[in-house]
Amino acid sequence: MGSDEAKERCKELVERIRNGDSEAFSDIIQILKGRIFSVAYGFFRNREEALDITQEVFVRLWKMIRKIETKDIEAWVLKVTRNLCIDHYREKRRRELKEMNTDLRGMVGGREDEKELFQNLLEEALRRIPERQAFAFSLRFFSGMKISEMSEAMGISEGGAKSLLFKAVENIRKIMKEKENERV
Amino acid sequence: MKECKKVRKDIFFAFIEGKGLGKEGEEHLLKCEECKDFFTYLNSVSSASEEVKKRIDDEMGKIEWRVFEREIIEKVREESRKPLRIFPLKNFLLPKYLIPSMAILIIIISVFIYILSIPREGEFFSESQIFDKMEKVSAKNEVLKYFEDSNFLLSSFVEKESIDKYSLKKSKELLLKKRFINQYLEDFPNARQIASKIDFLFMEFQMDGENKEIMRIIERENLILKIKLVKDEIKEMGAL
Repeated sequence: MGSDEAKERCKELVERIRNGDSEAFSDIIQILKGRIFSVAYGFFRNREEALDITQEVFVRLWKMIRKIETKDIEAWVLKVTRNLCIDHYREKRRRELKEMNTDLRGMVGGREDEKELFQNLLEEALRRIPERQAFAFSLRFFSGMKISEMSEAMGISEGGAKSLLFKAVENIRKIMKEKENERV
Repeated sequence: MKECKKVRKDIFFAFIEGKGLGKEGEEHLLKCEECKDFFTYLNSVSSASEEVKKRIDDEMGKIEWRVFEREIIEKVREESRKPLRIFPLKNFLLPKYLIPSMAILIIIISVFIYILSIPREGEFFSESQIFDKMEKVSAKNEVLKYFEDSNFLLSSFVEKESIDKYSLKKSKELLLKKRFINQYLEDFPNARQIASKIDFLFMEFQMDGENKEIMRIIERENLILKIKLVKDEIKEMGAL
């Protein structure tokens, strides 16, 4: 389903839900679940967390169904996903800060080929950069969003999205280099 | 290097938009190891991202979406059944750091209200001024009543040319009342003068003075007419 087509379909479904058609809610889950899951998974790289976030987004959509603007439901849903991911991430980071460092040593010190090592370093670096940058990065590279979609989801301009992404990429690179040097 | 930073940005934007690097970019990469390294890094990020994307697809394939949908709908039902949350009292308490600001705000508001409550001429009255005004209205009514009663008593004396029991009793009351209203008559010489003459006549009533002499004084002084004029004057004055 194309982006505009999906927007129209979501708008129609929201109207139906507002008029008491509960089956329309199942249809909207069908349309949006993949997008939400992939964004959340891209951010956490963890299935359970991504499913929790996806469920919470739909619960919020239901609660807000009479109040939200129907113009672009997908953008609204992605903004909620972003906020939930960031909140969840902050909580998790506070809770697991020490544990995370230990994990990293374990990961870097293990037997890995170069590709796997790069992957692990990248994921670790993603946890260390500011949340907004990490989110922009995962939207673009893991969820495969275009810059225009990213800017809508993040509620910023396309230029803002590009520079956020550039900062993310540079910071990740810096952290990865540091980690590589430590390893050497 | 400033040039490198700009080139890296250009490389990056071209990369994320899927465009070519351009002749200038390619030439720069040939001579700059640092930027070449950045470009290699971008390609590695891209392939690592492809891995993550594959993982996402794999994970999505493993999920029982029907079951998950049912779970979502069940959760939504559960949430709908929950009673409205009652906010605990602590949510309404001010955080400590806001207390000084709130205290200053309350002081400013109090000063502002105080300033507003000071009456401007013809506009506002303070509470004490309102009470003063009420007292003056009441005094005016007392003075008017005194003159009305005196007028009635003297007129009936002129008519009957004698003092009955009622007139005697009433004149005694009016003598006492005169003591009470004296304070209000200070600023009104006409009213005070007439009241003194009335007072003298009522004392004559009490001392069983000669009726003809009393009559003569009333007529000579045109007292009944003067009482009427003083009454009109007081009525026109507003509060005393």
